[in-house]
Amino acid sequence: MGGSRTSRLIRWKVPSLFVAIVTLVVVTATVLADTPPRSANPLPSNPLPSDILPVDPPTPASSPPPGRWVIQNGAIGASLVDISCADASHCVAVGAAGMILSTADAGNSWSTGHSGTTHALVGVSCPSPTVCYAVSNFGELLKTGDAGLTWSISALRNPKPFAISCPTITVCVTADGFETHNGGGSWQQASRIAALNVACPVSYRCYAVRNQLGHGVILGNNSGGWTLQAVTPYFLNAVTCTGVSACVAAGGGESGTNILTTVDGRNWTVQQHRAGQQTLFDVGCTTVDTCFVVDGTASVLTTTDQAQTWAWQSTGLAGSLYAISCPAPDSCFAVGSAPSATGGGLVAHFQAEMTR
Amino acid sequence: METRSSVPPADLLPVQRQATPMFRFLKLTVVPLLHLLFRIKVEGREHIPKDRTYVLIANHLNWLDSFAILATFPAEPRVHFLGDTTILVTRKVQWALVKSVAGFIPVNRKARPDTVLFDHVNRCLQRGGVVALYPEGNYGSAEGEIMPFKKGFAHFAIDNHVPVLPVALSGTQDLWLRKTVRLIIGPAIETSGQSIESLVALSEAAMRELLPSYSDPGGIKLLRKGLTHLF
Repeated sequence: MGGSRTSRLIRWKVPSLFVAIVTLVVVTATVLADTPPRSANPLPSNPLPSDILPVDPPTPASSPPPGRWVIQNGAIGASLVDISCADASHCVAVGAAGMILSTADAGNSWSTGHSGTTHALVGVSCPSPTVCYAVSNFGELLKTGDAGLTWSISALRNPKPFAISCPTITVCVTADGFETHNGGGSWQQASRIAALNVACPVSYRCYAVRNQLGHGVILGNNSGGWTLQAVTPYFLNAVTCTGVSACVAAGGGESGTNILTTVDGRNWTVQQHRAGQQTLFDVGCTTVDTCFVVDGTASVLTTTDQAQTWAWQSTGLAGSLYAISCPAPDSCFAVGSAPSATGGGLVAHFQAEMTR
Repeated sequence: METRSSVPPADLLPVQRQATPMFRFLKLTVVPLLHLLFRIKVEGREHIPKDRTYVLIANHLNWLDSFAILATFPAEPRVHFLGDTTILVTRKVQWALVKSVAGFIPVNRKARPDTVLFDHVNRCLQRGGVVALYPEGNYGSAEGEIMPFKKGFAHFAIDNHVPVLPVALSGTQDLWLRKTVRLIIGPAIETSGQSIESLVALSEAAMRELLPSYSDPGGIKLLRKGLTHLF
C-alpha cells in the first residue's frame, strides 16, 4: 500500500516539478532575453513603442517603369543569394556552395568563377569592374582582382558578416561592422552591429539595417561610429543608397512590410506598409526616382516617384528573386532560385524601355 | 486575415547560425533535467559537420525527439525545426518565448505549395543555420520502422548544396523514468550529383540502416503514462 502511495506521489510530483522548473526557467529567461545586445558604440536604450516610426496607410500605386524582364541564365547549379554590378556591363553574382558567376558583357554571357569555398556566399560588393569582395556564411572574406575569375580567401573571426559594401576598391564595411581601409589587407571591427545588410555610398558614410526584439532598426555611420537612426514596426532586410544621403530600406514580410526612405541621411520616412506580403529581401534603385524591391516571388515591387507610391510588376519569370542590383538608369540584374521542380539558381535582367 | 492569425508570421522568427542567449540559457538548464529523466545514449557524434551547415532528418516517435536532438547537437550552428507552430502564437508568453528562443520555421499546412517556407528555409541555410525536419511528415507508427519519406528535405538540401544528416531515434515512443533512449547519427549524405528522387531513396535507405531493432527492456516503468504523454 505504502509503495503504491509513493508511486502515485512520484507520478504526480515529478512531471509537475519538471513543468514548474521549465516554466520558471522560461519566464526568467524571457525577462533576461529582453536585454538589448551590447555594442562598442552603445545605441540608445531599447525604444519605447512611441519611438517606433508610425506606419502610413497603403498609398495608391504608381505605374511600374516601362521595360521587360528576361532570364539571362536559368540553368545555374545552385541558388543565388546576392549580386553586385560595378557598371552596366560588369556584375558578379554569388550563392550556395561557394557559387560565383560573373559577366563582363551586360549579362549576355556568364562565367563561373572559382571561389575556393563550399560555404554559401551571402554578400558581394563590386566597387570597380575588376575588384569585388564577397562574404560567406562562415566568416570567410573573399576578394577578386580579375573581375571574379579567381578569388583569395581570408577568414574573419566572426561567422556572421551577412553582407558587405565597398564604396571604393580599398574601403569595405561588413554588416557586422568589420572595416578595411587598405583593400582587405587588415580588418578591424570598430562596432559589433550585428546587421543584416549594409550600404556605404561613400567611404565616410554607411547605413545598416538589423532586427532586434521584433523590430527593424536602421543604423547610420558618419565617420564617428554607428548611431541609431530609426526603429520600424517590422523587420528590415535591405538598404541601398542612390546618393550620400538618399537611401531606401526595405523589409518585413507576412506580419507587415516596411519601405523607408531618407533624403538627408538622418530622418527616415515610412513610405509603404501592407500586411500579408512576402518578405521583402532586397532593394535596388536605378535612379533617385526609380527603385525595385524583390520579395522571394517572381514579382517585383516598383516605384517611379521617389518611393512615394509603389506598384507590382510581374516579371513573367518562374522562380524566386532574392537580390537585385541596378547599375544604370535603364538596367537592373536580379538573382534567386529557379522553381523547385528544376532547382538551382537564375539571373534575370530588367531592360527599361527608353522613352523619347 | 484569418490565415495570419492562425499561422505565426515566420519573418518574426529569427533564423541564423547563432544561438540566442535565451536558447543557450535553456540548453544550460533543461539539458541536465533531460539527462536526469532519461538515459540518452548518443552514437556517431563524430559525424556532425563542424564547418558547414546541413539538413538534419530524423524519424519521429514522440515529444522527446526534438529535445534529444537539441540536447545532443551543439548550440551553434543553431538547429531550426520545421513544424506547425500554430498553437504557439495563441498565447502571448509562449509566442514571446518562441521568438526569443528561436529555432522554429513555421509550416503552413494549408498552403500548397508553401513557397514562403522555401524562402525561409533557404534563408536559414544561407545564414548558416541548420534545418531539421521529420521527413515522414508525422509520428512513426512503431519503433524501428519508418514510413515513406516526403521529398521536401531533398529540395532544401539540393537547392542549397548542403548535405543531409540522418539521425535515427530509438526508444522514444514509450517513455518512463530513466529509460534508455538511443540517438544514432549517421554519416552526412552529400547532395552533389543527386536528383530529388535519388536523394530521398538514399536517405531512406540510410535511415533504415541506422535504425536499430527495438525490444521492450522490461523492468519497472515509473511515470510511464505521464512522461510518454508529457507534451
